[in-house]
Amino acid sequence: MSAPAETSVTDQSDVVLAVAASSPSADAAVAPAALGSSRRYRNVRDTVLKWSAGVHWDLVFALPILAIVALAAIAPGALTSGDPLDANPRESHLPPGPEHLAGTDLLGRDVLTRIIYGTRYSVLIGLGASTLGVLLGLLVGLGAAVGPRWLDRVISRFVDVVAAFPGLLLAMFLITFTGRGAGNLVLALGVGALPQYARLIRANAFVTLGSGYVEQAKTFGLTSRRIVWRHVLPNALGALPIMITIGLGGAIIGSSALSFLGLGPQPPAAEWGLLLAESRTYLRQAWWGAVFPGVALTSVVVAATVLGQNLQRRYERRDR
Amino acid sequence: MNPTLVAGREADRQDVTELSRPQALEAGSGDGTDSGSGGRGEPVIQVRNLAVEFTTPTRHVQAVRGLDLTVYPGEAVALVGESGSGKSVTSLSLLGLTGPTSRVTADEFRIVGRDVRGLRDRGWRQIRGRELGLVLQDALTSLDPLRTVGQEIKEALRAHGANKSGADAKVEALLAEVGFPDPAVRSHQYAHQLSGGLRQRALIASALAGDPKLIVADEPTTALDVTVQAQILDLLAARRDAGTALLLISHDLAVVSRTADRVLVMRDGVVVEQGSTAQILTAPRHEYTKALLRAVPSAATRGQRLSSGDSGEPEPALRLAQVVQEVGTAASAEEAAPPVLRAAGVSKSFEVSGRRRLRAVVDVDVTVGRGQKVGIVGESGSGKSTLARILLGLIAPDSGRVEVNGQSWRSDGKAGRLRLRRAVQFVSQDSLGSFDPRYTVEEIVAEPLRGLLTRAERQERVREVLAAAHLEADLLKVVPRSLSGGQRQRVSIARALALRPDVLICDEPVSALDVSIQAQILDLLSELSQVTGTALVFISHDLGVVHHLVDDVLVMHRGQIVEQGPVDQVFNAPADPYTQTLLRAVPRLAVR
Repeated sequence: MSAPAETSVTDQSDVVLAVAASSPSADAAVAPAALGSSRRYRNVRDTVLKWSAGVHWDLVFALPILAIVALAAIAPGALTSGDPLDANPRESHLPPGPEHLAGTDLLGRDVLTRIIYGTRYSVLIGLGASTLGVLLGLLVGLGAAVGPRWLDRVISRFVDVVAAFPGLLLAMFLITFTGRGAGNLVLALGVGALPQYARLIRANAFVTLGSGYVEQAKTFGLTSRRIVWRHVLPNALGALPIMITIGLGGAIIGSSALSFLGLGPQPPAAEWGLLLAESRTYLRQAWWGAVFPGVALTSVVVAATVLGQNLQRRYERRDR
Repeated sequence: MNPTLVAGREADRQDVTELSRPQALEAGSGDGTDSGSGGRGEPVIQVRNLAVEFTTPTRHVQAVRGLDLTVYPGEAVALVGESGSGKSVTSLSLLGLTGPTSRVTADEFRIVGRDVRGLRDRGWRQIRGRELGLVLQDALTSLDPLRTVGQEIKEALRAHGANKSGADAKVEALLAEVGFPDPAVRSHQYAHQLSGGLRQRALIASALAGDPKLIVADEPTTALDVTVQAQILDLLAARRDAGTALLLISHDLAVVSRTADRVLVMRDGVVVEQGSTAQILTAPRHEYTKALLRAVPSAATRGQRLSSGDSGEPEPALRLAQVVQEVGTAASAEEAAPPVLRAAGVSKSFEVSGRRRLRAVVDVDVTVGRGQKVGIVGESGSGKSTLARILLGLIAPDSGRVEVNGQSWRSDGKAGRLRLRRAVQFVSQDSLGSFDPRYTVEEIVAEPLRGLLTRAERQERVREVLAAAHLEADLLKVVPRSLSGGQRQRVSIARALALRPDVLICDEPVSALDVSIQAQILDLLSELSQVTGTALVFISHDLGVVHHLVDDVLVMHRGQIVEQGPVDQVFNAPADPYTQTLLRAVPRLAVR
């Protein structure tokens, strides 16, 4: 036998041994070693299990969706050559086909193109609102946690009052003062989301304040302001990206809902909620006008939530 | 108890001792195990060549290898080892509870004569509770917070086919059997309304519900005070005397030596030595057993090193000697200086549940002289930790005063108080919790120095104190959660030393550690106090540890100091009745 062939044989047996040694048996039963062909089957099965065990299937679906969404928000022209505002009355309400993959709307505009261009509105408003809510929550929640006790009382009661209104209702209420438009929508949704974040961050900050390392920091002779800067604030900031991601889904739904009601960007903008509103009347004749924006909206919200939850799980596990 | 029955039991136990002699010589070959079964009935457990493996996508761990174990009715066998030795995995595998990632194999695996290899969950359920009862360590998390103790035990009864009628009476009988005071009333209480000792009793009662042939007790007394621990061990011993076999799992040889007839010492998943309790304690054969026994701190080990010096050579301490000189000259200049720490008439109470006030610390006086080692002992709830926090200036006492180097925590205004803090540093039990999770070891140790020293000076000091704590410099960039328990406590001590304090307050610094690691940390503390002249306030529930380490001791009970004085005097001739009770309850290595 030639030398290289020999090495390959030993390599192979090594692999088999390694796989056999690390076989994750699915039960805790006491069993003698399996023999013969069932062993080969088990080796294969175990190898497959081993490879797939570390894979987060939810992320496998969520991340590509979010990548496409990010691309659509940044450079919609890269995904479609059409113009979202390019009306063509002669092609009104064409069903999905090779020309128009998602059909056309009443004015003959390509639905897919409008969905792609609408991403920017929906996602940016959602992201903006989520970020604004978390930042406001950070300010309010930290103020309550590290400030004097009377401030905590005032802030907590204030937050209670704000939280008594559903976020969407509060946002609508604010828009009646500020007027409609994308910027005001971000502001309104951000304030609407404030209570939940403020409470979370306040609670987090109290945990940090009661922790062993803050107690220890006191024994070093640190002032309480130093302790807030060194420990409380950074530990609260660590969770922010996760909160923003988890809040993103809800914020996108909120922004679409308000646009649907006509409180967001105005026609002919291609915002998703607006697309839904426009096609609502013709749902019987042209289902594609509402279904495809709906699918886009749903998948983005689910993907964002999945990502957020994964981030959170990873963050919580970091101490172990 | 019936005297004839006791006598019979005694005879049985002698039999066991004789049997285990030749067995110990073979140290785990286990062939001698089966031969002596005549006359004592069928073994409850008979395991030969047990192996338990765990496989996760990233790791493969062989937790137990080649373990032989035979337990006869009425016999108490102890499995002793440090964390990671595989003792708990062994106990779980006996109940088929090792989980889906595990793989259990054995040449022979019989429970009450029945071969349990290849048993599925349904089969195991018939064994659990009925043949084997499990008592876990953490009674609070093992009891359902939403159910009363009575309901908990009733469920166990019903799982074994007890009918509804008469269940209440049975619950009460079980609770009475485990020494529950007032079982009719107490069975309606929830776990959180019970003390740690009563919770453990409740757990034992529910383990007894199915009238098992063997009780597997995994660290049943680890979270308990010594006096309560003694009661629980007596309770288990009484069960053993009544004919139930006992498998005791513990990290503590002393705890086990009281109750067990036979001891198996485990390390890294292998039984390294086994034999009768007396033989293991008096004539250990294996190096590891010897090291374990040596590591147990007590009065007899005062002034000696406990760890077999593989890590702690005095070389790095030399560098610290320079530090001492600085400190030392400062100290000698004020020879008649006030004590580093003095508390006078300190009291503190907390409000609990509305109007009731808990008096945590009552009129306590403490004086810690320069370089002195003072121990504070007491059971949980005695006010030790509150006192520590008052001494640290973290809690203001309701009355009385605390002085650091003659200056009161209160007198000096905010800036002065912050400066004063640097003289008193703190080492807590939960070292991981005392580190900001975002910090590396270097950042942790350097934190107290920020704003006081330049970056270069800080680095220098960090290296110095890490070396003094016998930590390698390559740990600098490591985050604390990837350190071992012993390393974490060393980092904690290094950090406390960084400010060159006059006194170090240690609150149960070794109680979460294995004996051998505990030995290293104790060696480190006594070495540091000797070399640097730092005074030590050492708070512990473990009288042996305290006796080993300190000069003077204070005994706390319900917030008060019931006795104080030089440690030898207090522990050898206790004057106070509480101190006497405490000392009596301490589990000692039966033969030494």
